[in-house]
Amino acid sequence: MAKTVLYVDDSTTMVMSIKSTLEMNGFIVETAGDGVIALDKIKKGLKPDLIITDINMPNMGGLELVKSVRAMPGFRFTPILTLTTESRSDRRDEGKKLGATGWLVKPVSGPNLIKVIKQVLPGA
Amino acid sequence: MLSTADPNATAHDVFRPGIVWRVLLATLSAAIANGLIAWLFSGWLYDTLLHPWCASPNGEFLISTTLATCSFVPLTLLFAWPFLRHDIRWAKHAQEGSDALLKQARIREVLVQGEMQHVPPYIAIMAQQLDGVLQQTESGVVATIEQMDELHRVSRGQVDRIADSMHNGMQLTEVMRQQSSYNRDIVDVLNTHVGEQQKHLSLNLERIQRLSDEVGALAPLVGVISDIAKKTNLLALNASIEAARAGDEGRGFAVVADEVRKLSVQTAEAATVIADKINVATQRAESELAVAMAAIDSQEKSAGLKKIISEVSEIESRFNDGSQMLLDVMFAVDAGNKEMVTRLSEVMGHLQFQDIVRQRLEQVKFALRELNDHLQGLAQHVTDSAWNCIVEPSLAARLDGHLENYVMDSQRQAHGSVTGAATSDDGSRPAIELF
Repeated sequence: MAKTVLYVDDSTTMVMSIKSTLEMNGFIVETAGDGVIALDKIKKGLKPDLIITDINMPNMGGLELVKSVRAMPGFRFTPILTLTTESRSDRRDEGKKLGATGWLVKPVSGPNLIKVIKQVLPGA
Repeated sequence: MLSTADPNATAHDVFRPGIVWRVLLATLSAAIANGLIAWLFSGWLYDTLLHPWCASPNGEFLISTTLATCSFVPLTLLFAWPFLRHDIRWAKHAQEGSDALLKQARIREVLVQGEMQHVPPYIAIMAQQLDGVLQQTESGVVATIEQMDELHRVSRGQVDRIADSMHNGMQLTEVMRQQSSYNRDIVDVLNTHVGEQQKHLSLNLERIQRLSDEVGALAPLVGVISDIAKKTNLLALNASIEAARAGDEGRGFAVVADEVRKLSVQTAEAATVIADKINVATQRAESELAVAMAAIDSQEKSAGLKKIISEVSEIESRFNDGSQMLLDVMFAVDAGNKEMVTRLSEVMGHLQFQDIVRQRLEQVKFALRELNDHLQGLAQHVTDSAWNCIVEPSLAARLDGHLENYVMDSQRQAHGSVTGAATSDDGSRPAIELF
């Protein structure tokens, strides 16, 4: 059965690029333009197998989204990957502390992204 | 904090070096001259002015002091001329220079103010250009992704159709494999049947051969018997004739002759029986021959059947080869599609450059707006007489702020390559890091 991925990013091109890459590789993809929209979708019943989020976004950033999702019931073990241009060590450490599963610095090639997803999402 | 002007900067321009000494020297000379004049004219002055007009010593002191002071000032000015005339000329030139500088500064201020009015639209145009670049790259990347999605959709449709064909082909191949097995069983049965037929045919032919031999062996016997019977009958007839001619002496011979004639008749009858039996045997042989012919015909038909079976087997073989070839093609197409998906995914990764470019250009736009604010603030300060010559925040502080706000290593490295600022070691951490 195809796995569902929620991808959160405010960049139109990133959303299209990642969505196409994942769909080509057999995933079902839901998208959101920022953390607020993503949380709203989850609260309305979306139960993704994996969440991939940008860090620097309007309204609600990726780190705050990670923190909020981890606090929700049923999402304690859901893999959350950050995909961002942000490369500072302190931000990475903060993401790790808040519960992110991994940190990916843009740009990430499609095959590498799929490889990482299969690592954190067994059976994908 | 930045100090832009020194209030004492023009003092050295107005006064020549050593002017204090020259002023002191002029004053001292004037004082000496004044004392000398007072000493020379004191008697005459007392006789003609002080004594007649003053009734008291205090009045004399007051008048003499007033006169000395009054003489000292013009004398000082007089003596100052040779000592300070170059300084006066110097100060005059300095004043003229200051006026020119002030006038030039005012002109420059007006020019700068005029130029500063063009800074906001200038930066707004540059920002607009950057927006245009962003929009162009974004629309280009979006169109590229849409085209690649369409390409993948078409390819996916082909692969799905090929997958259906592959499924049908595999089913057909399985059916053909089963049919081939069934056909092989039939061929085995038919081959066994044909073998048995050939065996029967050989036996029949042997029987026909034996019958023919038997019939062939009987035919000469019938002729011999028939000849014997004819000759015996003729002999008996001659004997009867001779017996009749002999009369009574030949009566016994006549009996013998009669017996011989009867024997010949019996022989003839036996020959007839034998002939009949030969006929029966011949008919049987013909019958067996017909059976043998039928068997031969059947054998010929069996040879035709073998040919058909052989051709069917060949067709099956060719069909199996074709099915396998079709499956190979389908697998190759499927592998090609997977390769295409991999390459498209690679391209999708490369297209992420647009987001990186967008963020860097937006940072540049922010810096341009900040520079505009800074320049406008400076322009206001220049015309503000109450300005304390402090720029807050300074441009250096703003630059340092940029260094703190960068998110990418490439931004920090570009900054550091110009300012020499040390970059962090964030780049040493891997681009993909699982916690």
